[in-house]
Amino acid sequence: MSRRFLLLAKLRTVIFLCFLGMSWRSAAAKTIDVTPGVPVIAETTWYYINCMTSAGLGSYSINIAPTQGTVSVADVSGPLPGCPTGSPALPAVQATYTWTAENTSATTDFFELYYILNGQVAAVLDVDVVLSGSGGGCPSSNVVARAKLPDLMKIPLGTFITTKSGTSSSAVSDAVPAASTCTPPPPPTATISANGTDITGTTTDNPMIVVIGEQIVLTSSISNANGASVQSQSWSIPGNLVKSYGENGPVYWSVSPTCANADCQLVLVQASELATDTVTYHWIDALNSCSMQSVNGQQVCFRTVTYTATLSGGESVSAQATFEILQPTPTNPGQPLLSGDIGSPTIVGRYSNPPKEFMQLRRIYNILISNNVSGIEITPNLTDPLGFTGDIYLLQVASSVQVYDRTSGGTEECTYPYAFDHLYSPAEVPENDSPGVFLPDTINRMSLSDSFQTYLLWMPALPDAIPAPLGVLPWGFTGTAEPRGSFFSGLWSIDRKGSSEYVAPFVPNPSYPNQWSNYLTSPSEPHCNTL
Amino acid sequence: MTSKTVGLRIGLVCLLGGLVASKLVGESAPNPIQLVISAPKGPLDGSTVELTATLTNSSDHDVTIDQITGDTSVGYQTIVRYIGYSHFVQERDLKNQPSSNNGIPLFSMSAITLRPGDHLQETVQLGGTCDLTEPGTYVVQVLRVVPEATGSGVSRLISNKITIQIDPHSESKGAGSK
Repeated sequence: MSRRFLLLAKLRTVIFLCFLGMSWRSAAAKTIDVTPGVPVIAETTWYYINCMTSAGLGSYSINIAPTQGTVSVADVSGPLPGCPTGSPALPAVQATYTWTAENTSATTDFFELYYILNGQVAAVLDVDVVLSGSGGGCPSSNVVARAKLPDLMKIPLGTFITTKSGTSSSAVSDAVPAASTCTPPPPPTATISANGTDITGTTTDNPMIVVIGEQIVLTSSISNANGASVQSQSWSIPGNLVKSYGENGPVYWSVSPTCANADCQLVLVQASELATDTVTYHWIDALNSCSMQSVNGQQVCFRTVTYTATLSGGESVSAQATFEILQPTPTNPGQPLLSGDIGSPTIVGRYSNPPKEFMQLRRIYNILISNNVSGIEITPNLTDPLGFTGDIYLLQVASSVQVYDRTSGGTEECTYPYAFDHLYSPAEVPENDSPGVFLPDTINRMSLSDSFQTYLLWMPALPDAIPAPLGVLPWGFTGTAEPRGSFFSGLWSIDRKGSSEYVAPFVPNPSYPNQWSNYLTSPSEPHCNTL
Repeated sequence: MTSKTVGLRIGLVCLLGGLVASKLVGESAPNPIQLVISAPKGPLDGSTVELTATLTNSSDHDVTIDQITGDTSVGYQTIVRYIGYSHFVQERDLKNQPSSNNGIPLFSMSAITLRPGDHLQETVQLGGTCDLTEPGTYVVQVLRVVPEATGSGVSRLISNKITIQIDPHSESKGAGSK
């Protein structure tokens, strides 16, 4: 016995052991690639004892007929696959498929054959048909798995059957061999680009590094769509998303000296904009909706964005990318990002005749030295993120309440909702401010309460960036002034018991003020009541 | 505060006032800050006249100045001359009589640095302090007097003179008599 037959005998033994516990009726699956009108050999089955000896001839029965073509069955003969050259032809039964359908959008077909031996079903053969050149018609993964079932099966009495696709046969001379395997086209994939850079699949190990206030343009694209179109798509982007300022919106504000109020409005990203292939936004904080991880001993904000699309063929594709969002850090880690050095209400004069006096917040009142120090100095404690530069803005909003007694009698209370709104540009930082009120000789007593909120903003030096809010410093004062008396007409003094001032702790809070205008040249119209 | 300190303060006010006045009148060096006012073109409504005051650093060095926000009238005095049948001059200052719905002027001062050539602008409202209800031509000049400047010095500035025309149709809007 030759060495090849010894190997075959060993193989039979292995296969026999594998199928020992199985029913003798077996199942197999195939995929064939066809061209319309061209007969293709789908299956050929031998029933045999060895390469030299047939055990008989079975037959095919069509259990499930194809819908797009026809199946014909014929008895043929040929050498057993795998046998030595020169082996005799043995009888076999062969099924041939022909795609006959016209004007159809179908690209696949299916039929099922029973291989009948001695009146019994010896094997079930499933055949998937793929129209040549149609692309997406390859079988699903489970079908491919089934197609890997062995072609060689042992049935009782020590005989074997072999099935084979694509074996030529003299009996079906005009048939062409079927493709023995299907090479599926590569599956559709989605990619994500940020500001023109492909960031698909980035993780916290290799994130895309951005900074608060930076404009981010996310763009998606789909490869290997095989002609399919995008039916629906969506972005999942954590965090607060600010599209821009400068378009119509419910909240208006401005940090640009060249921007008029009506044109300087905060615009948030709308839900509909997350259902397109491109979305433009700014992250304004590195605090909320973050995956905080320690990097070099510091807590760093990571956010993962996801793009998902459903294609016209029903397939769903998605891609993810991870960002590391940087923000300024305290120059002195032990101190807040913003702090204020505040003075107290005092009387200042203007050199006119008669003299005019004012109650104003000043840090130094010295009778011998001019009060040439502002009422408060607000100083940031910020260092730019590594690799970025930016500018600091201080955006101040304030309200004021004044209560005064008229010399003619009666007490008036006036409220100014927006008193000293102002933007301190980078050149004006640290902020110096000295709010005050005029003291006319027609009133007897003035009590002024001013409340301020100074927002800390940082804007990266990048195209289309916007200032990002880092938090707010509340501060204010109450001052009470009284005339010195008739002998000192026009002169006033501070009632220290009715005066106080405060600078509250800095509040890290990445939100803009509700309403603010840089161009209030005078306080808003007061609401006055007679008490 | 004692009467002694009050007296000191009055004296200081007079002294400083005199020093400032003498500096304003007698200084030989040009003022580093130029104050130029302008008004909208065409006949104006006398009740709502707003001037634009432009302060420009015309020197070759940085100058610190107090920028006024809020009611800028605390920092401006106006000199208005009416050109008509009966010429008269108004010198007006802050509104001394708070009305029932206006409150009392609030303001804020921030010391800023103007680099050579830089400028800042403030809006000066004339309507509230001067009687401009008589139709005709007025010559207007303003004096910027910041109360005890917080910056390093520039507290008194005098502007150019401009001529404004008050629309006869605005006569009924004003409170003045004819």
